[in-house]
Amino acid sequence: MSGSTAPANAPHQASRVVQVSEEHLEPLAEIIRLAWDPRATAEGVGRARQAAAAVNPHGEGVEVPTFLFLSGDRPLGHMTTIPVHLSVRGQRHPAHWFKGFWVVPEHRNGPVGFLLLKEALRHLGTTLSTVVQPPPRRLFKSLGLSDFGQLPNFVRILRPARVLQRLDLGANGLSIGPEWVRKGVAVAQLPGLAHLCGAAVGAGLKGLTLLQPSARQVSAVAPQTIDPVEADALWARVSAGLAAAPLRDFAHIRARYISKGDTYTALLCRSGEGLDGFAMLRRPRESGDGRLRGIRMAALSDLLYPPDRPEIGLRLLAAAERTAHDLGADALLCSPSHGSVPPLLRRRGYVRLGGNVHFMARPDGYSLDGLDLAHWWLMRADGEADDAL
Amino acid sequence: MKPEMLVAQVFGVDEDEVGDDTSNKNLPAWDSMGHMTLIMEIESSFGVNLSMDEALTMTNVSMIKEVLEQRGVRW
Repeated sequence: MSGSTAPANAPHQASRVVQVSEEHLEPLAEIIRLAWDPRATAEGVGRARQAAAAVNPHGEGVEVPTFLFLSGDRPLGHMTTIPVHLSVRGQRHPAHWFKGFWVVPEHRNGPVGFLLLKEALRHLGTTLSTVVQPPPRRLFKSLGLSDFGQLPNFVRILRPARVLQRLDLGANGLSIGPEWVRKGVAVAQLPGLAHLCGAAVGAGLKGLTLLQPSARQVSAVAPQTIDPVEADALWARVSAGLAAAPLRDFAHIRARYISKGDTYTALLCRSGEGLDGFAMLRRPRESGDGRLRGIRMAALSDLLYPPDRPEIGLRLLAAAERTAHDLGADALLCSPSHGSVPPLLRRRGYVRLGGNVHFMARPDGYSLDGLDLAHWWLMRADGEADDAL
Repeated sequence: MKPEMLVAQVFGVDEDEVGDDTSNKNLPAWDSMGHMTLIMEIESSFGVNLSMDEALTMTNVSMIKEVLEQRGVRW
């Protein structure tokens, strides 16, 4: 089929895929209004693009690649990216997460999504995606991204009585672990028992974690206060022991968290030697999942500590639970890929739920063979998957 | 080959089930990937190079026939 990215001065108005520049801010704002924010304007979108370029880890001021499928002046499809660097077997590679893949409803199941992605891939090197829905997964796979599988979801109940009252066990697809857990929850939901059982569960969780490393040495601060030198030194120490991960250095912290206002609270674990680890807690929101009926969920969006020092991970988890509780969360969600994290989560009483976010990747000029999901250090914030709960 | 037969082959359904009104709205297998497979099959079977605009409109059998007729294709 003929057609490719149109040059900026293309005179015809045929259907085409464009990489967004200044002249496409109006159609970009239009599709953002349709898909996400009815108040979006070309000026506002332009400012947001400048702000993203200013903290682009690929180079300050470098525009973040965004693509539109245009039919005449009308936008039919959108895809933007999040620039990052990957560390794979000790080598550093530039990469882009796909983000905001959206096609207007009347053109779904047509060529728009495929052509948009195909054209985006022609301009990008290594591409990564955290994706939930099967149709885009099929598209990504057909265009060369490998599916590494689902990030597991672990949930720590912080207010047991409130969660017990609200869980909808009859909902389709709600998996809350073994059958005995489901039966136990069903009994606990009987009238009058929720508060009693909630208190019992709370006491049980407290007992479970009583002898574990506490949140001492961990401070809750605004991400803006993180010291760049300490953050880079921590990443240098930790990354030496990781097979594959998106960089979690200060450039990542700045682009991903500091630029997001007060959405995140940083949890810093320190010792005399400096920064030993950090976690990023996303403020609690009401879950969009109808099965959870208004449970306020916080997300442990990021977590970094040396995998061979689990006591630091446990301290950060304890601090995250306490801070999330103080912020009004009913539960805390953590979605780690690395095989060393789930044992710590179980020790702190997290329950594994069915996963939904798939990690997909297409390397450019190197191989990811031999790596499975448990080798990657990924968390909920990667690809901004913590936007959706 | 008739367009109906091509659509049936691409989406793995009986040719009897495919008519002019068969579209990406009523054939579950006809998703974005399936659509691109269909476009590529049409191009190779009928020896045409379709534009993005044509691919955009060919979302039902009737429109596939109309575009092919405009291209002077007989089946």
